[in-house]
Amino acid sequence: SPALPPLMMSALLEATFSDVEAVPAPTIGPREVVPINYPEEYARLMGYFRAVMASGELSQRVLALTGEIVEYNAAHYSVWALRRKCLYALEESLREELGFAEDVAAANPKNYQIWYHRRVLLEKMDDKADGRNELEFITRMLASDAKNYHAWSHRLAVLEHFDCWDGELELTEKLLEADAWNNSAWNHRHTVVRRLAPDGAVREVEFATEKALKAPRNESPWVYALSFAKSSPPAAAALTEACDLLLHPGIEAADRACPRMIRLELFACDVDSSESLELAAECADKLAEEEDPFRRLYWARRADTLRTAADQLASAS
Amino acid sequence: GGFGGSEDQDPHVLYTLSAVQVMALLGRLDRIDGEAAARYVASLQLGDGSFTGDEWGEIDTRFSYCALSTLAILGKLDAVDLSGAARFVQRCKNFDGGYGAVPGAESHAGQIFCCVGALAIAGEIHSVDRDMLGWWLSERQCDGGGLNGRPEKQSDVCYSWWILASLCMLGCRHWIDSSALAAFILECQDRDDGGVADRPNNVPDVFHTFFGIGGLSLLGWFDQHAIEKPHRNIDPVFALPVDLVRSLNLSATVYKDADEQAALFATMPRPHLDVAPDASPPPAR
Repeated sequence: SPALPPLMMSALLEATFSDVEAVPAPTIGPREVVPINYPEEYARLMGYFRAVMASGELSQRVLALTGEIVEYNAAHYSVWALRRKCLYALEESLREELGFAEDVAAANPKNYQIWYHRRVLLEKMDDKADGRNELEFITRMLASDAKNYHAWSHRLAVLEHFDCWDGELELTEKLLEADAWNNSAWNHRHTVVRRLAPDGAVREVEFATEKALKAPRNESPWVYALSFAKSSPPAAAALTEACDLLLHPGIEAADRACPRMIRLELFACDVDSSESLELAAECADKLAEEEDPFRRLYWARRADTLRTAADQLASAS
Repeated sequence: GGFGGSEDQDPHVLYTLSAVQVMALLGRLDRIDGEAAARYVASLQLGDGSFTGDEWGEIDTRFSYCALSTLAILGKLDAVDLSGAARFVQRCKNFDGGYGAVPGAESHAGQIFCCVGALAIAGEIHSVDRDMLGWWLSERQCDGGGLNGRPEKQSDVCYSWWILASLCMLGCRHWIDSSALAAFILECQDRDDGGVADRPNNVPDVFHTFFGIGGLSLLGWFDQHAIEKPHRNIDPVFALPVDLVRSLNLSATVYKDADEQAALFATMPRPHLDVAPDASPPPAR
C-alpha cells in the first residue's frame, strides 16, 4: 500500500468515497456509558466503514479503507475480516498482503488479529516456502521480544501446518543460551522434543540441569527436567544427582528451594512406598520452614497430604 | 444470535459472553434471544471439542471458557458437546501442570483461568493436577506481593484475578500470601482518580480496576475492611456477584477450601457443588 502520511491518505480516501454517505456512529441514548474518545480522522473513516458494511461493497477503495483503519486500530477484527473478503474478491496477492501485515505487526506486536490474519493467509496459500519465511519472520519478532505469546503460538501453528520442524531444537538452544530464564523457549523445546526426539529423556535432563545448576532459582529448567524424569528411571537418576549437588547446608536456602521441590516430586512419584512418601513430606517441611517460606501454607498442605498417604500405606501393610 | 463488540461489528464469542454477563447483571437476561445465542455458540464448536472465536476459525481455550460460561448463564449447556469441550481443554495441559491457548502452547495464567473455569463448568475439574498447578500458581507471587502471569515476567494486577480465581476453584486460595497481594493491589490504585492500574504509579484503566476489585473480593478484603459498607463478593467461576450466581442457579464443580483454618480473611459462601479434596473422580456421565 502507498506510504503516504495518515492525514493525507485519509483526505485522498475521503475523495474516493464522495458518492457514499457516511453512516454516523450509533448513539445509544442520552448518556452513553463508556464513550470512546476517537480521533476525528478515525471517526470519519469508520463512518465509511459502516456504510460499506451495510452496502456489502468489496472493492479497491474498500481495501484501501481497511488498510487505513487498521493503522489507527489494529485490533478491529471486523475490519480485518472485511479486508480479507476484499483480498479474495479482488484476487489480490496474498503474499504482498503478508508484507503489509508485517508493517502493522511491527507496530503492534501483541495484537491478536494481525497474527491471525497472517495465519489465514498462509493457510490459504499453502506454500511451504511461505512457511519457512514465516518462521524467519517470527524469529525476527522474537529477537525484540523473546517471550511474545502470540509469536510463539503462531510459530506452533505454522510448524504444525507445514510440518517443517528442522532447526527448531537448535533455535531453542540458541535462545536458552542467550537467556536460560526464557520460559517460552523451554516450553517450545518441550513441544519440539516430544515431536522429534521423544526418547531423549536423559539428554534433556542433562541439557536442563546444566542451566539449572548455574542459576538454581530459575524454576523453568528444573520443571522441564522433572517432566522427563517422571517417566524415565535413568533420567530421574541424573536429575536426582543434580539436585543432590545443591542440597547441603553450604548452599544458600533460597538456592535449595527448586532442587528440594524436585526431590519431593521424585519421592512422591513412588506412590506405593510409605518411606518415599515420608521422605517427600520431609522435603515439604524443609521448604515450608526455611527454603521457600513465602509458600509455607502450600508446603504445609503438601506435607499433610503426603503423610496421610504414607500412614495409610504403612497401616495397610 | 451472537454479539459483537459494538453495533455493526461481527459477532464473536468474547463479546457474546460479555453481553450475557452485562444483561445478567442488569437483570435483563429475558431480553436476549437465548435460543439464538445458544445456537450461535454451539455453531462455534469443532469436532475435536474446541471452540472457534467466530466464523473465521481461530481456536483458543479462552473461547472454550467463553462458550461454556455463556451457555451456563443462559441455562443451555446441553447445546454443546460438554465432554468434548473438556477433552480439548485437557489436551492443553502442559508438562508443568498449567494450560495454554492450544495444545503445546506455553502455560499462562489467563489461559489457566479459562481452562480451569471451563473444566469446572463441565464437571471435569478432577482432571487438573492440583498439586503441580497449585505450585505453579503460587510460584507466580513476586517479592512485592503482586502476581505475574508466567515465570520471569513482571507482576500485574490483572493476574490477581486470573491466578486467584484459579486458586479459589482449586480450593487453594490460601497458598499465596493474601496480605502481600492485597497490599500490592491497593498500591495500584491511583489516589487522584480512584482507578486501579496494572502496576503502582501507572495510568489506571477499567480492565485493571475490575481485576483489582475482583481480586480483593476473592481475598475477602471487603468483608474484612468494608463490613459496614454495602458490597457484594464475586464468584471465581463466572466472574459475577455471588448472589446473582445463586439466583440464576448456576453451578460448577470446584474444590472446597482446603485450609480454612489458615484463612487470613473470612471465607466466602459457595453456591456450588463442593468436591472434597481427596475424592476420586466422579463416575462418567
